[in-house]
Amino acid sequence: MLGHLDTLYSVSCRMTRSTTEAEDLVQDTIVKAMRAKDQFEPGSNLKAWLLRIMTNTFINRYRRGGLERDLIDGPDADSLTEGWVGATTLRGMRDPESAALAPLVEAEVSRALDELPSEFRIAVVLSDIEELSYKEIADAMGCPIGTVMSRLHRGRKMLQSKLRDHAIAIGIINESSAKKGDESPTDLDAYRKRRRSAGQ
Amino acid sequence: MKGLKVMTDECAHFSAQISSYIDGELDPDHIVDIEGHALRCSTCAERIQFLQTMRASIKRSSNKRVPEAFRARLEAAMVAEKTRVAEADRESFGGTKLVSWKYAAALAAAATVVLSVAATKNREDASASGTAKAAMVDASMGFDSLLDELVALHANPLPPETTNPEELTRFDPLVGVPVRRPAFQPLGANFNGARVHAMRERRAALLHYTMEGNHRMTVYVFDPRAVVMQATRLQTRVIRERPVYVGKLRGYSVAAAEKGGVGYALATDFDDDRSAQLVLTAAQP
Repeated sequence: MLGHLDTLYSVSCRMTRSTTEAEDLVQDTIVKAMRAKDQFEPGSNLKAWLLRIMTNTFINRYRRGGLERDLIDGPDADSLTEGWVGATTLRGMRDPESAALAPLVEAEVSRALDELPSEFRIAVVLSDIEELSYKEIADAMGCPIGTVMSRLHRGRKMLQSKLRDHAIAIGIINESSAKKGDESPTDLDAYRKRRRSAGQ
Repeated sequence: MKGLKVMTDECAHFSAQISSYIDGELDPDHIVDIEGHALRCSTCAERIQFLQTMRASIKRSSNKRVPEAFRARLEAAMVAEKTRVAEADRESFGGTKLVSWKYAAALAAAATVVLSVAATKNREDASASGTAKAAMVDASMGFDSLLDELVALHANPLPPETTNPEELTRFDPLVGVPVRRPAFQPLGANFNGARVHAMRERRAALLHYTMEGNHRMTVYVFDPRAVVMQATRLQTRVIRERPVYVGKLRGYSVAAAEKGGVGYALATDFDDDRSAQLVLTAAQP
């Protein structure tokens, strides 16, 4: 179990966005795992099992009542095919030499991730950092696989939009060229507005 | 870019699959289709490449190591949790509402895993599931095998690791409970030495005494959550309102009791009444 500590801590930092809360969440997770040890099936993926306990704990304790599930998965969720950032803009945000993100864009990744609504962030973190399968993420988040797919898809589009806005702000890419083409406007702000009005 | 308009319907179709594609969750037929499309469509090729890059970047920016101070705190919390479970067990131990043995066995399994994991934390992940498996076998072995082990070690003692009673505390992290020197001095018992005994994944402290001439006594100090004290071959007595297990095994007198989350079992060549009194002396606060 302690062999997975760095894993749990990395994911926990991303989930809670705070090192203090991250430590609490890891501790809660370990204690819960100790209590539920008999529920672990020998031979199955211990890391995925621990991450499932952690995700559950995070959703239940740290985000009690605060999940945007209905709104996110509801009928007004945007179409899977809209909201992409244009190819020219994307190309402008990568460093052609190193096949990585341009350094100034890469520096913004953490913040962009922190700004995602938690359900999107959890899905992206479990998939990108820990490379859990869709099935394992669905088990961890207690939702159908289709929901995981849509959260990942939409979460990544939001990340792209965030990074594009940052790239424009620091002048890596040109605003007018970014606005042209096939992209629709960032939907994160619109999403937040909808969430606020739906919450009332 | 001129070809973009022509591609739009196809792009819309594949756009929904790009995430699944980069996550390796697409089946082979769809992989062939989307890769074929990306060869023809620079927009989708760029999207795929960007998402893969972003994925790598998120992973890179998220890898953290647990701070050492937190690791220490966490290990303390794990010990505290084990103690808490022990206390809960103890409270229901003498009372009317005995813990369901099934539940207790589950707790014992959990405690054993932690105990063994704490000692093997540097091993590869591969051993983690194996450890869990071993723990379940372990828990089912139970109290009977602990007593057999105790009697065997009393009959054929192994050399001590220390003869200094002050060094017993260094066994604490290995055994998982505080190993304190039982208050046998007033009875004229001589401490001959102690060692840590490993039984499968579990450890206990083994203390050797002689008293009243050549009478030998072996005391086993163990974590009672790793071994549920359930008498199958010993008789349960209540002495001074405390449960004590007493009986004869292989001709030796064996007695066991628990105090404050620490389990004590001893083997002697005295009679059962005397052994019962001695184990209660050992299990004094």
